[in-house]
Amino acid sequence: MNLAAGFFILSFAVSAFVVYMLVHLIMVIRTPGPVSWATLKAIFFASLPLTVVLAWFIAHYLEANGQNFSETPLGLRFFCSFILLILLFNGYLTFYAINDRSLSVRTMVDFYRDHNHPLTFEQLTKRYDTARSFRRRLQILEEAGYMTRIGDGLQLTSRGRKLAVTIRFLKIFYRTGKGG
Amino acid sequence: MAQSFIATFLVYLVFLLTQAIVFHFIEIKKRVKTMAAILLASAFLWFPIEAELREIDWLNVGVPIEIAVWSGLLFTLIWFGYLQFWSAFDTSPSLRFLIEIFESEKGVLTVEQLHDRYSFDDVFRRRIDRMSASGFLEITKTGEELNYRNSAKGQKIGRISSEIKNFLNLGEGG
Repeated sequence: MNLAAGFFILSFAVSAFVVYMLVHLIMVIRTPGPVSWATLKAIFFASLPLTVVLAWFIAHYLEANGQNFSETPLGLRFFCSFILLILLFNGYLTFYAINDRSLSVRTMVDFYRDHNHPLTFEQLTKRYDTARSFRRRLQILEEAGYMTRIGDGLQLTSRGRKLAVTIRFLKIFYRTGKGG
Repeated sequence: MAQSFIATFLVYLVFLLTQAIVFHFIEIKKRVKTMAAILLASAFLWFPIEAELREIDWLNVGVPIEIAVWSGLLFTLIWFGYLQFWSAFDTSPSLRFLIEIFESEKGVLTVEQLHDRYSFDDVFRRRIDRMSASGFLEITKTGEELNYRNSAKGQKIGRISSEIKNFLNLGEGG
């Protein structure tokens, strides 16, 4: 694999990520409140066909400028590009999740917006409203299809059960305790 | 250049196996630091693996700087991805909810029962303690009471995240 192929992979992955970010930003700027996880993924997959067109343009542009990467198999080029793209996407999801859901970030933002006035733990708990956060997480789990409500009760769906079994096994295996 | 992809993935495979063995047999308290140490130790394997892969023609070696840049980029991206996975796995309240419901006698819990089994106030307490220990919050004492506020580091993150929340329309979040 030569330098031109490397350049192709990098430009493809970065351009595809930029396409995704543009679509994503247009959507989030117009939508009040956080976008669901499923929507973020849907935007990613919906922008993939565009990225194939983008790859075609990049390949032609590089070839027209005297770059030759025909020795590198097409599959290998795409494989490397998609891995890079998925890692970039995953990095952005992390960034989004931290800013949206992190209790720690929320606490620091609240202090900043409130001119950093000192508060006791009780005052912090009242300001943060842990009950709201508790309900919000339950709602996210319900919307994502991991649990369902039966009367007053919360029950796992088969998807939720599979995840719970896997995570419980891993927590026992890695001896991390129940966590949370 | 493809050898940098393959060598990096093989190093991560070694890292995952080593982590599984270490964490399974020893109860680790400082888990992220231990993981970072295991990764650092595994990273030395990259050099012999990459040298081996260089012999394969169709992978066709790139210039050394290119290989170094690719490997550095991949190492960083995978590490952050794995850290995110680990942090969610280890500390996510949502995953804990699922486990609590799964472990309950009838497989059904009301919101109150779930709250009794796993108090969200305790989660908040642990987060505040962790932020104080990591220097994001500073504690002052007024009489008997402890008061919390952002440290200089916490204020910077608070300002940046406040702008990001505004820009991405995230509301208050948390």
